[in-house]
Amino acid sequence: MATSQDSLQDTAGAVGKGQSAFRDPVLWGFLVALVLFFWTPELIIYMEWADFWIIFLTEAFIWSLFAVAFNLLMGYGGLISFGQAAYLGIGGYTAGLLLKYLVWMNFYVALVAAPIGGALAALVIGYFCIRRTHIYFAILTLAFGHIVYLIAFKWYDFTGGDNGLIGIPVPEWIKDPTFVSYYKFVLVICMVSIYLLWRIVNSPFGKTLTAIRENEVRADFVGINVQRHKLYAFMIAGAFSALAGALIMINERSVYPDLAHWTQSTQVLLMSLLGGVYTFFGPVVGAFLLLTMDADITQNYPEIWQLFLGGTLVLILFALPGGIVGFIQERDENAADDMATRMAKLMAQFSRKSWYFFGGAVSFTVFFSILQTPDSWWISEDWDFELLSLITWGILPRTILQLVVGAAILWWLLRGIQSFQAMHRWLLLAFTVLSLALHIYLETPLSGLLLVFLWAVYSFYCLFEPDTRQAFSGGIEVVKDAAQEAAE
Amino acid sequence: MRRRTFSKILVPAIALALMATPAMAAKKKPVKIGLLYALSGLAAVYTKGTVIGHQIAAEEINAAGGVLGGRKIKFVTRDNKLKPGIAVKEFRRLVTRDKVDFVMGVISSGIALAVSQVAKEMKVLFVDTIAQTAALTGEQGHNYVIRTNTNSTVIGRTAALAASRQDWKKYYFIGPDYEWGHRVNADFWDFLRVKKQGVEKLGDLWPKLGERDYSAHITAMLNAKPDAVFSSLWGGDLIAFIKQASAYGFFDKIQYISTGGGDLDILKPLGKEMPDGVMATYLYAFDTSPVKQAENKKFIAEFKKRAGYIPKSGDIIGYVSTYMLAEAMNKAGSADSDAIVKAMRGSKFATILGDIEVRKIDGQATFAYHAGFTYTHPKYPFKRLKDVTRAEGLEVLRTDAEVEKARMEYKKKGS
Amino acid sequence: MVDFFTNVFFVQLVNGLFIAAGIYLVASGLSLVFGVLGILNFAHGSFYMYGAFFVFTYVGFTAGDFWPALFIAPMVVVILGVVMEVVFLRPIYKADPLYQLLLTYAMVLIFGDLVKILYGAENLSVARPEGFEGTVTIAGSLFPSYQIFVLLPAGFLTVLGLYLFLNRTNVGRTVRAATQDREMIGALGVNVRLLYTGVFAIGAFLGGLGGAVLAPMGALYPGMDFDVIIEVFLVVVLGGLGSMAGTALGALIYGELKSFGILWVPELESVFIYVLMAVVLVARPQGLLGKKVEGGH
Repeated sequence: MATSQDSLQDTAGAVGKGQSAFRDPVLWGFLVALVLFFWTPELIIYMEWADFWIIFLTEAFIWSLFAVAFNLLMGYGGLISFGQAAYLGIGGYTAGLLLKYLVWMNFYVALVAAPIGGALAALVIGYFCIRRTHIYFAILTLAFGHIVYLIAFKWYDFTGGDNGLIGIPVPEWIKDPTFVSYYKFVLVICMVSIYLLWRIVNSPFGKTLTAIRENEVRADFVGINVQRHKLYAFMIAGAFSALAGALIMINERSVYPDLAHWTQSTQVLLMSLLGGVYTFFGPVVGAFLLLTMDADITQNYPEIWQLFLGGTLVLILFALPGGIVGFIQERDENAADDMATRMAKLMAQFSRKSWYFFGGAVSFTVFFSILQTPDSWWISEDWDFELLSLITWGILPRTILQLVVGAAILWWLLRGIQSFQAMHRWLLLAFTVLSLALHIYLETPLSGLLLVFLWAVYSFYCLFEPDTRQAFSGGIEVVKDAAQEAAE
Repeated sequence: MRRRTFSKILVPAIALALMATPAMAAKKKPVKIGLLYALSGLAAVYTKGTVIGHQIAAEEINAAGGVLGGRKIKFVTRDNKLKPGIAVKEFRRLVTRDKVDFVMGVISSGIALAVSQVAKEMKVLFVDTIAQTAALTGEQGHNYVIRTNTNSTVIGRTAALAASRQDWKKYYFIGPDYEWGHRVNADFWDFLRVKKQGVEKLGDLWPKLGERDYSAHITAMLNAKPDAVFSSLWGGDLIAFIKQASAYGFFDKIQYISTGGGDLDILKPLGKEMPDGVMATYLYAFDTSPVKQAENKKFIAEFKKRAGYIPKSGDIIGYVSTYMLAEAMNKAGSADSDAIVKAMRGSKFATILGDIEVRKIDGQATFAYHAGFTYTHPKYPFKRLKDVTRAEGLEVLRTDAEVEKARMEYKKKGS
Repeated sequence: MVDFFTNVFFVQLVNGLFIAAGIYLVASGLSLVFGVLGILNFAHGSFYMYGAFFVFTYVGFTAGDFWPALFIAPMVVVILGVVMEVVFLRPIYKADPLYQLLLTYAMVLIFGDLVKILYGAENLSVARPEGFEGTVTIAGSLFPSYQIFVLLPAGFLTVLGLYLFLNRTNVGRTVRAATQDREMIGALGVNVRLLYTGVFAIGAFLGGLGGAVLAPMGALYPGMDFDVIIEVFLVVVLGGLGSMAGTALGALIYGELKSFGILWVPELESVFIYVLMAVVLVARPQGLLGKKVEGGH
């Protein structure tokens, strides 16, 4: 985990102080993503499940915002809040109550009121909580969160009790039957908010927060007002969580006490953990992954989703303690290494991780194939067998094919990569993209697709970074020799 | 503009290529029905059997040639984890991803109200099977909601009807602290005061759902010395309450009126521990209440084979409501929500549980409901009910005028 | 009037004791495990649930023989606990405490679905043992005999047993020392691994015992683990994490507050306890009788 933290500081350093915001590559990344996602509905509108995807993305972006806000506390501040859902509830109820009871209330004013309400609540609750650390902080936030939940649950006349507020008036354009308008609205708000959080994290304030996490006593010693910084972090997280809560409320036109229940807090914890606690974008990946897994499992196997979720959690805790983004970012680096050694190490690690991804993708496919078509071991029972149509093959032959052929190709490509053959680099990239296409064709469940997609992203990330590019094109000879040396 | 043209041509082409095989493979499109129940956690006790009930009916219907001239019924089952937010999400998923024609479910009143709101907006029929709050079809009712079960008013009023024939005067109330509890207790009390003069309310207690220890509640009621206690506790809570209360000699001193206590999910696990003489209400008692015994026996046998136990009220509702919807679809000639609603509302159905009607005004089915007294049956290892008061649905449902009035009041309060 | 009042007062007081004894049986194990291992075990509720379900199995098997189940069911839970500790918890003791917490949460999810697979989703109930179905009269008031003769003694014996174990035996003293200073105990040459496994086993036993003793008083259903765990947390945190006396005190406060809360303000009874907990935690984060902790200044 130590290594992933270092790399985090590297990326953070890249933004640097003094640089103007427009030179910040992350801003451009955000803008590109925003444009891409903004036009996504138009691209997929003709697909059979367009509505579903749009609803799904809406939820995923809201939860991403919530997870990133939460992770400001956990990843950067080292404060594990078990009651973060309380702010989700506060945001939802603030906006919901305003819209429900004040007829003249402007929709946008109510939306802005939510994060303010969240920040104020966080100020009060945070005042009591931030002095405590570790498990005591977790429990205290849990207790306060539960009080918020109970207020919402018990106060029948005001909050509607357990039924919540149903049918909150929202502008007509939100009720668009294709869900597109609201999706775009959410997208813009979430992207801007996440970018703001990114700036906060990389500001001196964010750096101080990390310093406090690393060593509170030392931070105190050099004159940092530890409590105040923590309180600010708590308020920022509360405000953005509340905004997410308001967005959820608008999406459902209703708000229920369950929104503030502590099990929601564990959901967001899980997202952060799944994606990577010590990374900024980890929680976003985690949110997408958890929601896709949820969609896959609850659709067909409602009886075992807890078992599956628990199993995945155990796996993550043991195999990927840094989360998926942490796993991707993790580097084996040593300041004393020269370029050649560094490259050799990088490639060795790239190979290793590619195998992990490959193994993960295969086991995932097998797992879901068995669940979906339990008896189709040799040939598929749902389809008429055709030799040339993979989808009609049974689980075993398909798996064997995937394992043997895939592993052989991967092994060959990775060998080429390690000796820096430029051709193999391109082939490997093509290979990951083709795997993705194959999984789409085979109708692998969403979370499986996301896994393979992450692999492709990882490959691009690794093989296209400036150093690697240079190694593949420029100083190949030098690096090659060094690589051979390192191998021996 | 160019991008639009591009996507207009290319995307459908790809989609077509990908969809071609499955589309050709399918012969006749099945009617897809979404089943939205809480299948994990404590509600699983009720929902699992209901799903089996749905399935048995669908298989029988499919074996007999399906609906709408040969289309098969296919269920898509989803878990809402007993949370309204998730239920709303899953409802949208069922409609947009699984392309179900309509949705049946749910357990828990709060969830029903939340889901009904989305159904109204998406204009997709929501058939409520287990959740029983009267507000769903009453105050907050709309065109796209239909309930194929009794509701809280029927339950509360049937109990009140039976209670009004006894000479109990002083009442104490206990109920789980959420919509259902508050609702039934109010329905009982309002109707009882109409039916009987001089009744008196001594107090009410609202333990939380999932309470384990009722000692304090029990003694608080014993101290108040009421003639009768009306309880809307259900499931594990009711079992825990009865066991703990009987240890205090509670049932020797106070008449206990329990909604749903006459159902098998309570009677069977309690066995001999259920006291005699408790007034308990139920919808279906596997061999006594149904009207069509032959079909009922067939269903019981089939259900027992699959689930391993005798069906409870919720289980047969799954079965009956599937048949009702199949009949409505055939009548409407379509699986379209609007058509089904039109065919269903104001129509009569002959079900195992009797001839009923789905009312035009609120889409509420008029099943009969029962209240009886527990006694030890020589043949069964659990208590059965005798001296049963059977209330036909129309007797105890809110009248059309009452529904209208409630809706008006709700509207006034809401704005 | 005075007589009536004292009567009500007495009855609610004893009822509070019942509630306290029940919750203490479950909570003591959680507290002990936290004290020694530093882990807040979410899965403790699952131990409680399994204890109750195993009693059901045993009673069903032997056609009504209840008493041996009080020992056998918790012992089976101990096996579960030991497996969980050795296989899952042991490898991550050095990791962030958060990871341990999350691991136990993962176990809750897994245990929860397993119980559904094993027992199906039905309400189950364990009959009261013969001779304990009725009531006894104490000072003119009626009380259930099961609570008086089984639940209260079980709670009391657990308090006493834990006290004697922790204060009068060598192993117990080691355990107590471990609650004071975990690092030191390793330096003294104690087999820490064995100690941890042992303590976790005791914790699991107490959780299972709680489930077993409470089983005849309520219904058994999947999901009862979630219902109990928050209350148990509350009691343990209120009294002081890791302090056995604190847990007993927390249970007592919880029971009495609830009992009298119902008498006087039935609507707000469940809110009271949370407010109390928040107040206590703000003023004394280590709980009423907890030892002073780092971060608790």
